[in-house]
Amino acid sequence: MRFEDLNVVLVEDDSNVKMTIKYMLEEMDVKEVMDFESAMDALKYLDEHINRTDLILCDWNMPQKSGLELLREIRQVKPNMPFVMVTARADKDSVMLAKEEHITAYISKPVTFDGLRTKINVILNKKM
Amino acid sequence: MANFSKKDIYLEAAFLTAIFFAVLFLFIKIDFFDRFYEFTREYEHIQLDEITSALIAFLLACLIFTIRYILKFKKAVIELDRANSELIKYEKEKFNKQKIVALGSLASGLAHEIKNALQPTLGLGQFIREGLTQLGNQKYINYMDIIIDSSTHAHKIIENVLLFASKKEIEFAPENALETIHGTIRFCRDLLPTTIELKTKGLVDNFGYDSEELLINCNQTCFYQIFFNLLNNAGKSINHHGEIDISIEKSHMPKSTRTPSIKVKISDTGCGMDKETVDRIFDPFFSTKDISEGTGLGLTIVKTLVEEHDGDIKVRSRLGEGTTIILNFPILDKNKYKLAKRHNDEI
Repeated sequence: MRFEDLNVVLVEDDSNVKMTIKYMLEEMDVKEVMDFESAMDALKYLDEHINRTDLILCDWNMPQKSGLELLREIRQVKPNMPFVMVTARADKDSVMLAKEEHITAYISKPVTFDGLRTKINVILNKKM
Repeated sequence: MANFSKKDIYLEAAFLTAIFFAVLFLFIKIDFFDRFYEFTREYEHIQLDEITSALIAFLLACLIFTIRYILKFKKAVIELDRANSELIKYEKEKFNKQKIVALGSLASGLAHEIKNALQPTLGLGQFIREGLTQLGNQKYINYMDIIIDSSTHAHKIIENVLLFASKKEIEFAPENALETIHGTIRFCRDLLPTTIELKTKGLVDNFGYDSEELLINCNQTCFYQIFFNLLNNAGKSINHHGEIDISIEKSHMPKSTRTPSIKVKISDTGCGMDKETVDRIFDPFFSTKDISEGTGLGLTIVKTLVEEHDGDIKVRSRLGEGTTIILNFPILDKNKYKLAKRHNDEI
């Protein structure tokens, strides 16, 4: 799979951060970026469109439903969905927790263009 | 609180003596003893003199009892005083620990918010710069460079503050002291300019080392941070050409001569520091460098990390004569500790 084929779902409650990551994804020429500011809105979309989604990028800390809770729900429906947690947390406990929940990858904030592209590349290569 | 210091006891004794002599003087003055004797003769029939003697004996016994009781009381008061001091000390330590935990949480929360706020600048800044480059507008390119640099600097500060505040995240394991130090120095050597000569002593030439296994409780990442920061500072204090000498030897912890240690001395031929600067170098955000060259947290982090390793750090410096940093890390009893196993897991 190439970047041009990717349908990405982006979940981030901070609108500036969300738009920044969205613009970075568009710079990578991904096919489509669906962005949401809450896990609840993302879940409503994914209920109908999970099969056409190739990658989920999700913030960890969000009000009402966290990224981790969203991950758990997605894993029940589609265990192999590539799920990248975007987070300011890089502590050992958080990393261990993320691994236990079978997260695909995590990327630390602030996200850089090269860092994000490299991370997605690794995921795409693994998929192949 | 009652005070039972030697000075107070002597004062009380002097006071008692003064009272005694004052009363004695008064008795002599009013001829008390003769009058009393005559008085007891008058009442010989009721054995007043024997009764008086018995009373004096009783008072003497009371006095001895009182002195013994006071001594016991003194012991109890001293014990109570000591317990009270320990309680105050414990409360203070507890409060400080709670403060540190609270600060750690605050730093963590603050870091999260600030990292979010930095995201647009660091994520999109380069695209704007590229756009400006295509337009050929150098003036705005320079502006953008300043904005990106400043945001990167802010991010570094956040990372350093988190490192400083989140001490609970550090994990330690028994490591071969010489191997760890050797590996760290070898790595850091590459970061120094070629005009600065790095010399080592205590390790055999070409970074060989004594085969004796000396274990220290260590986090390798933090160890690297300690030496990187110190060598970076030493390098920056040297104007173009100079030397950094690193010597390693077995020694003892400064505060506990029974605890063996690995002593590492890092000496540079740099500009040195005056006493006022030496006293402040471990203060957070204190820096002698330009703001673009550092966050002022480097040595604060070094001291924190050294102490996390149960180590000790001392600084000797003279303005114009260079600086020596002396580190001591306690050696583990190799009968009780074994080398940590390596495992590498990354998402």
